Amino acid sequence: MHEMYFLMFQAILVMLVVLALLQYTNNVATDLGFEKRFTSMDISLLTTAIYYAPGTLTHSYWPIDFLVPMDFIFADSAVDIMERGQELHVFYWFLSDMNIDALDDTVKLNAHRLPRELKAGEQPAADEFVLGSWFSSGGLALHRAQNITYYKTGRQVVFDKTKANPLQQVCPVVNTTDNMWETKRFFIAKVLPDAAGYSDSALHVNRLAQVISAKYPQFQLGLSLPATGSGSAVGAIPADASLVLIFGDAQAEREAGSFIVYIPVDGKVLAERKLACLLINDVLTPKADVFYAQIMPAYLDSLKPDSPLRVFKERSNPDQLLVFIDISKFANDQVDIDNTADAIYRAIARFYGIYDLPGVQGKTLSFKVQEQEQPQVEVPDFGGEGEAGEGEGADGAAGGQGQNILTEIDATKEGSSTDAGGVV
Amino acid sequence: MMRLFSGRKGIMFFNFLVMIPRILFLVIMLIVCVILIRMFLNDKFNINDVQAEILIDGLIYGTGGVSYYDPVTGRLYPEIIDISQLDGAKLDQGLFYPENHMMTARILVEKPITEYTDMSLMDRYFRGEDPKFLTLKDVYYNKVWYDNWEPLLVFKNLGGIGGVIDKNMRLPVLVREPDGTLMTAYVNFQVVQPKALRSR
Repeated sequence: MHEMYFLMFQAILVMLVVLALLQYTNNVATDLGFEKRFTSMDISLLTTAIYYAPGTLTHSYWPIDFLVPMDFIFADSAVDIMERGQELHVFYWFLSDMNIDALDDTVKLNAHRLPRELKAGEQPAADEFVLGSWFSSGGLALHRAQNITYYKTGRQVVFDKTKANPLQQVCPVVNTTDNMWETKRFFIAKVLPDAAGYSDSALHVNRLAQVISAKYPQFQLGLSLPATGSGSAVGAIPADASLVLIFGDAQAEREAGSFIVYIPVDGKVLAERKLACLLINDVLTPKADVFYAQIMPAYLDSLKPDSPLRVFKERSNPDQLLVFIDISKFANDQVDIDNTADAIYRAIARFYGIYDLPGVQGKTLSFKVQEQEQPQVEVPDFGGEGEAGEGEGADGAAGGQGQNILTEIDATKEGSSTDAGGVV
Repeated sequence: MMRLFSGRKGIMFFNFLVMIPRILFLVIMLIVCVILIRMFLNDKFNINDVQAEILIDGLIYGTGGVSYYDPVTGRLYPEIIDISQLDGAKLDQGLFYPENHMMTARILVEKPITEYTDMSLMDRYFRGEDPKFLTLKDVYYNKVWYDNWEPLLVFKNLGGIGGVIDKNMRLPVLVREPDGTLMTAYVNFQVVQPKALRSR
């Protein structure tokens, strides 16, 4: 009887060992463990290198051929690599700079697919590209494994599967993370040129302010401040408001479709420029369509007496952040109020270090250049390829070219390029 | 002896004694299998060099590193070191590894001596200082572990995966004085890290 127990014990032990060996052999045969370990180290080192590489940098890590679907999780200064739906993961650390925005995201890699021959007339799928159109058939469709593309926008390292908007801007390096940001109060003011502006003529400005304050209770919709005359009364902006969003019309000569964010030039200029930059980057979804986007400085000492930007002088607290968002160059139906409100909220959350909010889908601002009457100014020949301007994103030569043309237009109009070239 | 294995208990005892070599044999066979498989596998990674270089890149190009950072413009000057900004505690904050038991560094900023007004060349030599250079700043990244590992560097040329190794780099830089003037100097990086990769 004891012999029988011993044999059973041996059989179970051998079975367990065989199972473990099979698992191990499978791991070896597919190189999965090696690949995971190698890739975790490789991507960690790459991420660290990109963190500290000077300048804007885009890196495409392609192709990674995995036999099974993988998830890459970038969090807590480490890259975790795991099979989708499996617990076992391999990770390695990367060096992160705590003074800049955190990198926290997940990339999902699809399973490897073999090339397939396209039938005559068949179109490749969105994630495929065609090789060899000389084939008798439609060509050879290669499945493109998910790119891991690192966009370094200013000092923020992100990798984004969506195409970056060419008008997105480079944000400055200021650590504005605040875990208690939900306890802060924000104030919304409207500055429009006349009483009519508060009715139908600037309906989208009014509605945007109302929708933000209605959807997000942190935002308090304040009094509408007069744009002209002697200026608003001191104290109109509450002193406990950490951040003041001013929607309105700066009454500057701008083309239709211009999205401008003004910031006061004073002690908080870097933080306010970062906020303005995030506002522009979040509002400009890949589907947004604007003529150009710009951050403009407002020098408080040289403001005209009737300038709407004099509202910047109403700062009731030296720590208060003020930005003036001018969307008055869009018509009422060119602003998707809900999406723009969400994008503004997301930008403010990102400003305070919150990155897990969903991105805004669809259009926020839409404007078709072709639909507008072009200014009657002779535009010189720029030789085709415009040089990328400072205000462009990761892959936006088109945005840079647009800004150069605009600079020339403004220079011709006003005899000076200081205005249009004023990206802070 | 035969009495020991006679009777019911004696037979059971005998059976247990017989099992021991069989289990030992089974364990040895398993170990041999694992050793044989591992002999044909290469799962060793040596990333010490590149990891050290990237840390030095971080120290040079990171906003929390050694280079002069202008807080007004947000611009970093990788070739300039501001001694007043250089602080070991800020390095630990700026370049973050979770549970950092893997990388340490010593950053030594020194300038060539052109005039010996304070003490003679021989005096400096006998004090154990480099007679050609004057130390301007000596800071550490992850100093706790640097202090732990630095004595082990004497064994760095021994084989095996234990112990630590270092990587040194020396770069010419400009040192920014508090009044804004610049002077030529050198910065020496000594990165110390364990030979073996660590994992949690």
